[in-house]
Amino acid sequence: MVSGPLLEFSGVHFAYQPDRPVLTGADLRVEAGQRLAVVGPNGGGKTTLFRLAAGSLTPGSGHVAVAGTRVRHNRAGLRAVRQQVQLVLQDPDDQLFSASVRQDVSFGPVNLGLAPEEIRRRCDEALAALGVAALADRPTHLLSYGQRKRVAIAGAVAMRPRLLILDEPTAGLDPAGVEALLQTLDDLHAGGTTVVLSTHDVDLAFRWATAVAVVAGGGVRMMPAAEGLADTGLLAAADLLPAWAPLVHRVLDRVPGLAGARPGSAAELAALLTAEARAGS
Amino acid sequence: MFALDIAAHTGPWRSRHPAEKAMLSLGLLACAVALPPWPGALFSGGAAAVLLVGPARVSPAVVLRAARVPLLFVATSTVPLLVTMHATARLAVNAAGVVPAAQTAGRSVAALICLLLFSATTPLSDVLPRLHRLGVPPAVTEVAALTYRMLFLLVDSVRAVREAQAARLGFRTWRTAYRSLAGQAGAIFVRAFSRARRLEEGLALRGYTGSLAVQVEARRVSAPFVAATVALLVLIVALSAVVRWQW
Repeated sequence: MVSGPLLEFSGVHFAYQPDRPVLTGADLRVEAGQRLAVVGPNGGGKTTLFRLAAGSLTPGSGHVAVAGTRVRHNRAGLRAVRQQVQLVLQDPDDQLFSASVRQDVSFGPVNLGLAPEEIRRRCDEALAALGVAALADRPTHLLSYGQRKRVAIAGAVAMRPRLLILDEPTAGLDPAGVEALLQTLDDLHAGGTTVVLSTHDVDLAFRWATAVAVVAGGGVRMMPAAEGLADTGLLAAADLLPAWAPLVHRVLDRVPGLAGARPGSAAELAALLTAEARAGS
Repeated sequence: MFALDIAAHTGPWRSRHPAEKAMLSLGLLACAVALPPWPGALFSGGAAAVLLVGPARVSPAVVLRAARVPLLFVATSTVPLLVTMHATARLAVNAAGVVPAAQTAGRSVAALICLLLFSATTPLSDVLPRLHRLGVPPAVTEVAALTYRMLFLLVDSVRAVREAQAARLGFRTWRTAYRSLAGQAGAIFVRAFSRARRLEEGLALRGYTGSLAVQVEARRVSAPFVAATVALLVLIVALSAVVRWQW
């Protein structure tokens, strides 16, 4: 068993164009079992960070290590990385190449050289985990956007990665779809997968994540979610507004009788205030 | 094409082995081509049509829509047989060409229905991965499968760009329409390249090393279906012989 972080960035520099660096000495540590939300402005480097973690990009300087081993960008090195780290791209159509859902999900396990029975088992498990088992025999081009997104995630889950990275998985989903996806990610996390996602929704990040990484100005700042998502200065530097919950919690802590209350949603806050009003009258 | 594709994916014959459906459709096609147009092609095409809208439950509207363009080709190809040009450069109906035109059209339509029977009941994603067992190189089937998948994305892109242009009056006049079409072609070209690059990365993330091999679901060939197919083909050949002999 490897000790230390599951994913580590040390002083990573990266630029698509020499005069416009995206990351300038980024450091990041993702521990096994963490639920990390990566937030930041558009073009801030979140996707670049993820592509570096998955081995799609090579750092200009610094290094990326997965489970204590530096990522080598040769065929064997990338194969080793992709058995541990799976990145789900934002647009599911960038991953779904087959016209059949089941065939598409089987692609990764086939590339791992697994036995047919094991491939079938992994596909069934991944499709069930993402709640799309009923779509197994459907053609990908007849699925809705949300369904395609789930199938794309199933394709990554079928590889059984230790670290699952999702680039803006909730973008384009309706609220029910977001809730269902978060529940699925919770289930995958409970099953032992470390989950990292990027989002612009700081409230969602606050609700879901245990830690947050703010990517802005070429750097990455990591901290506990409750602390980072209440830091108005840090979030403003990343063109983000603070999450409402920590702000409300701070206010509640100053109200006699409500100190320590931690409503996580508007409905919980309303219920809390209603109960307090009744108790007071 | 899309209606046929949906029919193939949702029809009751979806779960049948593609080989069964190929045997039935291609067997009927062989009868339509090899037997005399009357009555062989009629029986073959008729049987295919009945199977298509009967047990295979493909909507007649879908069949007609899919057959529109090929029927137009059949119709135009019979015209040269039906007309003749005199020395005075005047066109006239060629009475001697009516029978050959009817035979050609009948055989072509029958063959078309037989092919539709296969394409409206068998998704391409079921056929392509199995073709390598028939000796087709994997590179060919993989490129075909990828093209098939990308075609739908391309159509979506074309539709989206066209709608965006139309909303801004891009098709108000012939002049603006030409300009919009040129812009559309450029936008789609760039999108296709960008999509290809992202797709390559998406595949690499799942361990792509040059092969798009996937697991193909095992399906059993149904012996009763094969027996029924053979019986139907024998019946068509026998009936054709009997009717031809008595005619």
